Amino acid sequence: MTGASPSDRSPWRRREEVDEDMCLGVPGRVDEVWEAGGTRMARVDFGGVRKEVCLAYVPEVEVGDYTIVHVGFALTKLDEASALESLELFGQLGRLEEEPHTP
Amino acid sequence: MRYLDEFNDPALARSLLDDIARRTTRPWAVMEVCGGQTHGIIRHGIDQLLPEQLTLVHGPGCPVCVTPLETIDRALAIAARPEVTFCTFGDMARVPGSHTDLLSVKAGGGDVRLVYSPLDALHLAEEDPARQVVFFAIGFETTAPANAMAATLARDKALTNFSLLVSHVLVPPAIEAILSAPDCRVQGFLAAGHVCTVMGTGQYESLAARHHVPIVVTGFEPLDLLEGIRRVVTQLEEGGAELQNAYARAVRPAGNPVARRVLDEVFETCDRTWRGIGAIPASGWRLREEWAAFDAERRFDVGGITAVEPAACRAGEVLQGLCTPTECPAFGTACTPRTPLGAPMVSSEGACAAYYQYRRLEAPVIR
Repeated sequence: MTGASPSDRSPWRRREEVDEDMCLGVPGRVDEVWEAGGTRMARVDFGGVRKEVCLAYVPEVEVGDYTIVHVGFALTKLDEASALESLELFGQLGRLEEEPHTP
Repeated sequence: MRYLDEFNDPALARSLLDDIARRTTRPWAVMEVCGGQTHGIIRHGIDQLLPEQLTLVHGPGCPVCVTPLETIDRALAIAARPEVTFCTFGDMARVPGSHTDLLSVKAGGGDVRLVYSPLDALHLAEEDPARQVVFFAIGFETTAPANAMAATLARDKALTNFSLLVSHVLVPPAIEAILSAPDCRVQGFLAAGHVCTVMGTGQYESLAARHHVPIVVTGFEPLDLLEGIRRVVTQLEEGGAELQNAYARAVRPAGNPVARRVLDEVFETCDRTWRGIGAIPASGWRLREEWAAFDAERRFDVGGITAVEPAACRAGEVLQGLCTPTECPAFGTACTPRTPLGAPMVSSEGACAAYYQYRRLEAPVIR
């Protein structure tokens, strides 16, 4: 990263309307899993807002996993290795810029 | 790793923006086809941080916005029946039909409930067998698994007082229609990450190859959006036209196989009219014949419906990316989120509502 930090004029801030944005696919952490009438259900924590979520489509999800929830259904388990890989790539872009340019 | 703050990091965003700026040498138009992404782009001002040559075009990615007027009028007629408890997602309740909306039906004594999930509607049906509970099952491939599961559970529980008014829409045929239009100016696409968590990436691979257009599966946080844009621009500048997945932490190539199996059991492909756009072949899902007992359209005969669109509204052009919300003369005056003329002003995923919330008081941007 070169130059002044853009954080003072950063256009984005922390999400404060987690509940409203939930249908836009906010990731949440699975806190508790149980069985109800043959269907796996979970309590999922979205930054403090907790919701009951159906796990029927993600049999692999366990307590502690992060998942994307849409209208009450978990659709996918977030993969930490892929997330770290993306962030590493973004970091490399910044470091490339710091190197002197060869004409 | 909480998968939120990490993908909101301003320093990494600057690196991505700088890389995009360095790569962009010509004018390009890139479309996002997901209301969640439109909302994120406008909310975070991402379009204003990009090089001037790069234009983001907002596509028809708001499910509430493209639900056909005729279907909304049908929903209104069903909701007004005395024996019906009509359940809907909140943003659908204020979408104007030809003459009224669901909240007005509720104000007039109709039993209209706003629910978070179709399972809430299913519970209402179980609790009160005397009521006919109808769920308004709209949305893209992301919402359909929830509705398919509601139908499955209703069948398993042998409920006779639960039905779905289904009007699902599919993203790939819409992209196909946009690319096939003679005046198409879109050169690359951000594919909706959450649609792909369900359906996988195969359909987009074939679209990219057939139309020779780069498509990048993209997430929703600021860094995700920037990386999607960066990968599309990189391909455009280098002449590439392939499907790439920039949202690998959530999207697997085959999507969600369990959900796809249930979807296939419950729904079949059908032609669908998109509000503001028109008919698109094979662009929707409806209940299969075996599920007719749970089809609200068959259960409730509401007679012939004649739909009438308000003349002042330019929602159709906004949905096709032909004009921006602020170019509509009704924007922010006759049409506001409290008094919407068109659906894109209602839903938080609608482009007009996003511009109203984040842009209406802004001076024109000088670059």
